[in-house]
Amino acid sequence: MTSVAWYLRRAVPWTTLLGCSAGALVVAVLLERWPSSVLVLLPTLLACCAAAAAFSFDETALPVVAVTPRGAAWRRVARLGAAAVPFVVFACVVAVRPGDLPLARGPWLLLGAGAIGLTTGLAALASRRHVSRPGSSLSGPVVLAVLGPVVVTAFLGWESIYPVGEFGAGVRNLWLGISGLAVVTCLLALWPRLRHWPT
Amino acid sequence: MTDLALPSSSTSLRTMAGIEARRLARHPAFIIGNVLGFGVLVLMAVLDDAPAFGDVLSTPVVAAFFIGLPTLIATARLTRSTEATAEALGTAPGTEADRTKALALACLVPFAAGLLWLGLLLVVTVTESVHPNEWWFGTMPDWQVWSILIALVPVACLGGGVLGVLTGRWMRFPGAPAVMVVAVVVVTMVGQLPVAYESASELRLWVPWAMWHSGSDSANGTADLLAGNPFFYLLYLLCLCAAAALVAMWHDRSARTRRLRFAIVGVTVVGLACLALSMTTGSSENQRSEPIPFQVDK
Repeated sequence: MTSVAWYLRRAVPWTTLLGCSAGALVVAVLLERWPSSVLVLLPTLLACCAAAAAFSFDETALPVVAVTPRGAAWRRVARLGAAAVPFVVFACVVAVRPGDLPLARGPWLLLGAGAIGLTTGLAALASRRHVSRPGSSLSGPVVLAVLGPVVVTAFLGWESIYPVGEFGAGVRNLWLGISGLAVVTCLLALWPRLRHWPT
Repeated sequence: MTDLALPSSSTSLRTMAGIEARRLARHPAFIIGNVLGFGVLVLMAVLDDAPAFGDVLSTPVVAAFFIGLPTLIATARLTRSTEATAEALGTAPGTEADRTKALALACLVPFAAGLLWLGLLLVVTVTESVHPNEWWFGTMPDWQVWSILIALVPVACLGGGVLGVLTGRWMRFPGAPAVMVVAVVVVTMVGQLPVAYESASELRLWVPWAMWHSGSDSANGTADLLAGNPFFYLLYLLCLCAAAALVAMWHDRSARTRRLRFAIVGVTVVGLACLALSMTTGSSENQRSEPIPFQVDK
């Protein structure tokens, strides 16, 4: 694992990734102060974490490193470790429950895993298609995609996909589907390297 | 001998603005945002089985979110894409300030999209009808309704575009448009929700997209019209747009003339005056509507 840590320390744009994660923590502080704004602030927190994950596959010198002996698949698998950082931040916030919100921890972790995992998978797929910096292109649309349902569900009278209390069956199935999609995109991006986990 | 007339600066600016407008109109974020913005409004009209179209003055958030914010991302990326060419080859047309002016003029495209959306909203309110107790023409002065609608739809869309140009000019780090989108959402929510329903509701008006309608209370079917003067708020938003465009031009060192400096100071002073007037004139308290029966338990 030493080589993976060495690689991640130098290759991942940590300033951007940790900056977005820090933004999520700032939103968590705002949530602690104004829990009544939960319907917008909680999805915003998720959007920050998902945007952070989008940067985990940014590789400035992609054409150069693509021909190194370890190869692209090794790099992409190793970068999954970086994508786990924003998920850990999200999981910590959900565990702490800022503002004493009655968050259902399990379903919210599933929700975070789905959104952050799908973003990671899309970034990995873009990296596989030789896009050197997918984060810049992906982060903006991801933020809008995460926040958009807040507006849509409110005006169309549909059930919120970010329930503060218990999740209904429909919402739970939606997030299970998104999580499944996240797994599929990650597998597509990383295959066949998953058979040989980096050492 | 044939004379070779160089194009005048206004002609070249018009040409550049036309090119940028076409690039913006073809940008995927702008197109998808418009499809969603118009689509949600159509769905609201089609799926709603209520006897009348409700909460009309709170629907502009759909346009501001789905047209304004994607436009922010699109213009920020367009701004950066031109500069990448200039930095690499030094062949981008005109000065940086000229390109900024052209991009700011191209933001008339989202403004026009916002006007179209507003037109569609008016068509929906005519076809679906509006309850007599709704905050709308008839229950409040016409100039207030028009000021709110213009401020929160086309001017908000214009503002998203200009803010994107400002972001592209001044924020060089990766993901800057996403950070700006999150910042706009957080500032808009945290800046107004804690005070919007209190006695000093007009203090919310400094935010770039202020609510004027509370949405109906499902307990009794009433809705609040929030305090303040919407006409001066509209002028304040226009000053914010102008200030954002001027500060984006200020990024070009060669354009930092005395005239530009005065323009920025002037727009800032006028904007602050409009903000003060929007807070101190107009209704000083939130007003509650008469109950709208179909909004109860909705």
